[in-house]
Amino acid sequence: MRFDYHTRYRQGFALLKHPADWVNYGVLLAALLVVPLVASNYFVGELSYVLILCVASLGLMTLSGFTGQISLGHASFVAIGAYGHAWLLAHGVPFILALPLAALISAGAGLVVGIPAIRVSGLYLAMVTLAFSIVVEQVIGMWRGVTGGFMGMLVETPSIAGISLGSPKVFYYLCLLVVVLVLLALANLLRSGIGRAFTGVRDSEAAAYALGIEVKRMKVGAFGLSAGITGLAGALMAHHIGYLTPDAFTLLLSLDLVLMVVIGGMGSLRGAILGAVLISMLPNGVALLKDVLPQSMARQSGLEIFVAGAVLAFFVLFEPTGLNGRWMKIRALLENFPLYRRDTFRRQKAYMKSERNR
Amino acid sequence: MNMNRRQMLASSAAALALGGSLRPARAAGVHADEIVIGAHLDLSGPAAAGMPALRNATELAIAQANAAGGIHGRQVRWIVEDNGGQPQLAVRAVQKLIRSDEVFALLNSFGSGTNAATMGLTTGSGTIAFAPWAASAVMHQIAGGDPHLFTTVQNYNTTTQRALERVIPEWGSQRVGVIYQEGPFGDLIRAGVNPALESLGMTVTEEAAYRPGDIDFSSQVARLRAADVDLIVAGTIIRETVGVMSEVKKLGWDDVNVLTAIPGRSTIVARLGGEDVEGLYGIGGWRLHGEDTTDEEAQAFITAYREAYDSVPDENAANAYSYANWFLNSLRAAGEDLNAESFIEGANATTHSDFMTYGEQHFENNHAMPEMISIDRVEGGNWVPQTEPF
Repeated sequence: MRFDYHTRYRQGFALLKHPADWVNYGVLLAALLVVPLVASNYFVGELSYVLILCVASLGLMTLSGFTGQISLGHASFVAIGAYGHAWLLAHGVPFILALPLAALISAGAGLVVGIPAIRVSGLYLAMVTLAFSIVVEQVIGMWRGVTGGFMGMLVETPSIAGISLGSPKVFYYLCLLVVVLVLLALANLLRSGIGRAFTGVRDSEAAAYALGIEVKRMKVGAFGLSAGITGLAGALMAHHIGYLTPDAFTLLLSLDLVLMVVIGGMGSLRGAILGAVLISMLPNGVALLKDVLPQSMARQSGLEIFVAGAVLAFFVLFEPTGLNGRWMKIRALLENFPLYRRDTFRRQKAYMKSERNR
Repeated sequence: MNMNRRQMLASSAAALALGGSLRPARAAGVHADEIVIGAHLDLSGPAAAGMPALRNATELAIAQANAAGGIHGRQVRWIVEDNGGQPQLAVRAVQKLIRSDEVFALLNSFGSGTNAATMGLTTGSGTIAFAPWAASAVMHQIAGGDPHLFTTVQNYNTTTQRALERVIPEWGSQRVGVIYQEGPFGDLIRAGVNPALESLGMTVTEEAAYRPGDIDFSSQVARLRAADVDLIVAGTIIRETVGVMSEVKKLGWDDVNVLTAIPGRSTIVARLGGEDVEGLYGIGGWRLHGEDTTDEEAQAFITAYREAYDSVPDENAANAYSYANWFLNSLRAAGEDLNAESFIEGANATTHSDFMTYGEQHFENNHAMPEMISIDRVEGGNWVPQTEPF
């Protein structure tokens, strides 16, 4: 077991707690940078998609994991980001500007949805966001001049400094850059006063209010931030899809995002990433599974849904803290081997239980 | 700029070589003894229930070709991927098929949004896209007239237009009402109704929209009734067609003709609707065959399908089988030296007619033409043609 012996006050603010973490994450980043040089275009394309979902998952984690607000409509922010980005590109806005602008448009929409979120929470908030996503889907279908309606709209393939984004490898590096930037921004934000305020609002609104935190502003702000990040993912998704139609952004995508943050582990950035990787790789896993299953079973339709449901049920029953919780347990086991204390992660106090998981 | 002859020759040769290297005739997936092709189907999304028929029939056609010695000695292998009805998953599936499996062509891929999202990727990489199950005109629009795309699905707008231009004068209809689905399908139907009426010097009297998933059509039918229309164009699919007809019967409204577009003219509608759909007119895009069909080819298909999968094929299965056979014939016509270019030539030189088509079809601007239709009517639980195919 590692102990933190801080000799200076600022050490408590460090981005990564241990020097070894810098090495580990450095190696991971280096590996991700090298992948396109050695892997096939197909693999690189798959990884790009995983990275896009990581951004979206981080967006929802900001809302659900850190401020405890539930959203079943995050696909609509992906859609707003995607359509906003494609529209800006089509109107001659350079890619470098269109990407953040799309995020801003989506963040604006997030603020609008965030306002009712001050008044409702829990199931009611879930219903509000669900209704919002249905409205957005209809608006996209009807607003032909901007979105191309149900027939869809083509996304232009821009080039940055003469390098076309159409190449899978270039696109991969772009996605990786965005993920790293978003991750760093969120990690820093969460260590700042705002991040602490988010967590405070999640754990107890009353206590946060008593401490002088502007609860309403935090809740709306979290919605805007979350929508902005998700919109950024949408802008990247637009390039992944290449031709936007409303059926890319249905409830299925929203539910996938919720699955990611729940399975990943609420309240952890690492969980958001792990969840996105697991959920996006699930279809590949099922495809592999089908190869070994007997023909009669492999050809059944709906196997994918069954596996996704089984995975979710498994996590809810056996690992409520998600992949992140499991990761920490495994790490603790390895660090202390062979001296593992079974009760290390047993929860001692059910703190403020009534207000958790709102 | 002055150039001598040698320079000109050299530069034009370089340009040729460059052009060639930019877009070589793709022959990926073509091996000495095998041709690898693929498809993305909605195996886990909203249309999953209909996929086994499509998949089985395509596999049947390929298995029959393989059993007969393959195409110029090559066996055909068809790889199916899941698109979940979602464009982003379809993109992944197609990326896998093109980049990892290196397929030569996509055959019978399913879905509007899914095909729309993947069409640019497919044709852009020089892969053949044959018979995507989506709105053909939209597909061509996205592909930008790319020669690698071959569509076989009838356009709902042009077929509806031609049907109306024929039946309105014949039936003497004066006031036309439309029931349409909100979304791409409804847009297509109206894109057929409006020009047809315009060419006849008429306008739509009343329109009523429904949302996908609606099961009650009383308000739509009541609205058309209030407008006193004498022809209802029903842009409806299976359940909706039956819903509209039972509402019309419930009102006792018998001085109105109801004409449903191609998707509504399905065997299931006639069987499901029973008494309610008696007298319903439908635009037929292909021939229908029951188990008791007298057509030998159709009987052979139904028998082979039943032997292989222990169930009776529906019309989707029959269409998939028909399209797959057209694809296989095009492969044959491409000759032994198979690549994308020779396939395009082969497909354009191949005509198609079997137990599903109304007449001999060929590719015109890479779309199956002529788009023959017939006007059918439900009589005694069966669709009975009222016209010769036109």
